[in-house]
Amino acid sequence: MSTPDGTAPRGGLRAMLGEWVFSKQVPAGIGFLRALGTALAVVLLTQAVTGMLLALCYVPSPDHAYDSIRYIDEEVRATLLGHELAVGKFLRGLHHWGASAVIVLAAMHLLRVFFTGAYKRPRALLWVLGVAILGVLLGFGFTGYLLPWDMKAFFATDVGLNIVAQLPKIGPDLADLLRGGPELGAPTLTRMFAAHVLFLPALLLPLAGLHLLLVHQLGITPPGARVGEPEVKSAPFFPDHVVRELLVATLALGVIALLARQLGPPLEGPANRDAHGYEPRPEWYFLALFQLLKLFEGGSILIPTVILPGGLATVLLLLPWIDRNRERAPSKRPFAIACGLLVVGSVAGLTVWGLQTPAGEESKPPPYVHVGDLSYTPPSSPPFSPPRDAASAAAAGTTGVAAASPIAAKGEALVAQYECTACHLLHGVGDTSGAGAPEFIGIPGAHDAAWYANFLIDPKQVRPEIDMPSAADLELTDADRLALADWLASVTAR
Amino acid sequence: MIRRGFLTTVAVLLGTAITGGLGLLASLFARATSRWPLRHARKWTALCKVADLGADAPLETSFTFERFEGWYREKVARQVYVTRDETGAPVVFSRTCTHLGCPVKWKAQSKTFRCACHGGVFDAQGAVLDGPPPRPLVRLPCRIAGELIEVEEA
Repeated sequence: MSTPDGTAPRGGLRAMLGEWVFSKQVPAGIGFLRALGTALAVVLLTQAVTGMLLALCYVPSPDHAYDSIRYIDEEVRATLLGHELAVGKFLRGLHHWGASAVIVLAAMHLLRVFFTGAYKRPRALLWVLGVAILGVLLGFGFTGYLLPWDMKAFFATDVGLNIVAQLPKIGPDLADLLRGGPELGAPTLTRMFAAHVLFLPALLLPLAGLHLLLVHQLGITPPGARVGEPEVKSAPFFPDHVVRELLVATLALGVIALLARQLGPPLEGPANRDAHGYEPRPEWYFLALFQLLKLFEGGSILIPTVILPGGLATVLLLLPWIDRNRERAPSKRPFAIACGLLVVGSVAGLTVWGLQTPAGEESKPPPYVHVGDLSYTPPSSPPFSPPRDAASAAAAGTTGVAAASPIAAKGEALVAQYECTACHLLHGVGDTSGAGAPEFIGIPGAHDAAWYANFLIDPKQVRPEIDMPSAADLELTDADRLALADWLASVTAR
Repeated sequence: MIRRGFLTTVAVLLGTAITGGLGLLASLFARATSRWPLRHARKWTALCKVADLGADAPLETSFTFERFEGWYREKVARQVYVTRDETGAPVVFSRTCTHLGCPVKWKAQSKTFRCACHGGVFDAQGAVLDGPPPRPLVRLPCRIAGELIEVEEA
C-alpha cells in the first residue's frame, strides 16, 4: 500500500503512540497540579473495574439488594499467602471511597483550571465539557448511594428526589420519572441502578473521550501565558509528565485503599420506611446543598433548590464567555480570583457546617450469621420487601406453600387479616413482645373447634388471666370466628 | 539519558503496580464469589420407610432441602431412586445422569436405569452398561434410622 505520491503511509500504532505519548511535547514548568485530570481518569477507570466486579453479586431489587450487599461484605473472602482477606468488603470500600475521591479530584482539577485561567480561549469547549462531566459524576454519586438499600440510602435519596419535586413546573413530573412512581420504592432502585451502570456511563464516555481528545489537540496551557500569545512546548511529555501523572494517580489510589481498609464501606440497617426519628444525611459532597436547604427553611424553596445551584452551574458553564480578561496569571485577574475564592469558601463553609449538624439516630445492621455457623437465622428482610418464603407469604395473607390445606390457608389468611401476629407468632414470624401469647402452630391444649369458637367470643371469660381482645373488639365476624376455630383445632398439639 | 531511563522505569513500575493490583483484586473477588456459602448444617432428611423398599424395583422419590446460592436462599428438590445393594443395605441414587445431567428413569423390563437424552444405560447398582456416561450413578449418603431411610442433604 502506498500514498499517491509514492511514499510509505504514515500512521499505525507506532505513529499513534508517538503522537500521543513518546514524542509529545508539553510546556515547560508544569508541575503536579497539571496531573490531576489524569489521576481522575485513573480513579474513574478503577471505579469502572470495582463497579463491574460488584455487579457480579448485586441485585437491584428491594427484596435482595441489602442481602446481596451483606453477602459481599461478610461472605466474599479469599485467602492470599496464608492470610484470610475480606476481599468483598475491601472491594466495596474501594468503590465507596473511590466515589468520594472522584469528587475531590474533579473539584481540584476544576479549581486548578480556574485559578490558572486555563478555561480561556481556545479551551472554552474543553471547560464546558469538563463542567458537564462534573455534573455526570455527581449523578453517579447520587444514583450510587441508593443501591445498598440501607437506611441512609433510602432516606438520603428520598430527600434528594423530594428536592427535585420542588422544582417549579417540571418538578413533580421529573421526580416521578426519576423515581418510577409517586413514592420511593422498588422501581426507584432499579432505575437508579440502570442509571448508575448504563445511562450515566453512556453519557460519561463520549464527554470524557471528547475532553481527552481536545486536551491532546490543544495541549496543556503554559503557566501564565496571556490569551493569544504563542504557546511554547519545550518539555517532553514522556516520561517526565507521565511519571507525575502516575504518581498522583498512585497516591490517590493509595489513599482510597487505606480508607477502604481502615474505615471500610459504611452500611446501616436495612431500609425501613416506617423508621421514626431517623435523620437522613447525604454524602458529604451533597452536604453543602443540604445545608443551604436548611438555611432557607420556611423561606422561598426556589432559592436553595434552583436559583443558587442553578446559578452556579450556569456561571460555570458560561465562564469562558463571562470572563473576557485575556490574562491567565492569577495576580493579574484579582476580581475573578476573589469571586472564585468566595464560591469555594461558601461551598466549603456550608459543607463543614453540614458536617457539624448532629447526626440523627444511627441505624445499625442486624447481627449476621457467618460462614460456618451451624444454626441459621434468616437475614432480616426490609419490612416492606415482598414476602420471601412460604411462611411470611402465608402470614401476609396470600396463599403460600406452607398453607397446604384449605383450612390452613383460610386460617393463616385470617391471622394476617386480624393482625393476630401483633402478639402471637405464626411460623416464627410476629411480635414476640406480646407476653405469653403462644405460637399458633403446635398451640398447647386439648381443645376442639367448638371450644375455640366459644373461646374466641371473649377469651377473658374463659381464661381471666390472659389479656386477649374479644371478638367484638376485633370486629371478628361469626364466619371468620368459626373458620379460625377450625384452624386452631387443626394446629393444636394434642 | 540516565534520568530518562530512570523515569521510564518509574512509569513502568507505577503502571504495573496499578494494573497488577487491580488485576489481583479482580481475580480474588471473582474466585471468592464463585463458591456458595455453607451457612446451614448438613442434616438427615427422611426419604421413605424401610418397608417401602420392594424386592426388585427401586423406589422413585424426592426430598427437598434449603441451600444458599450466594445471597439467595432456595428450596431445592432432589429426585432420587432408593434401592438395596447386594448386601441388602439401602442405596440412594441421584437421578442425575453422570453424562450431561438429564434425569434417568428405571425400566422394569430390562431392570436398568436409562437416560433418554443420550442413551446412557446403568444397571440396578448404578454401574454404566452402555452409552456415554463416564461414571456410575452418584450415591447419596444415607442411613437407616428406626424404620426410616434418611438421606443427607447435598
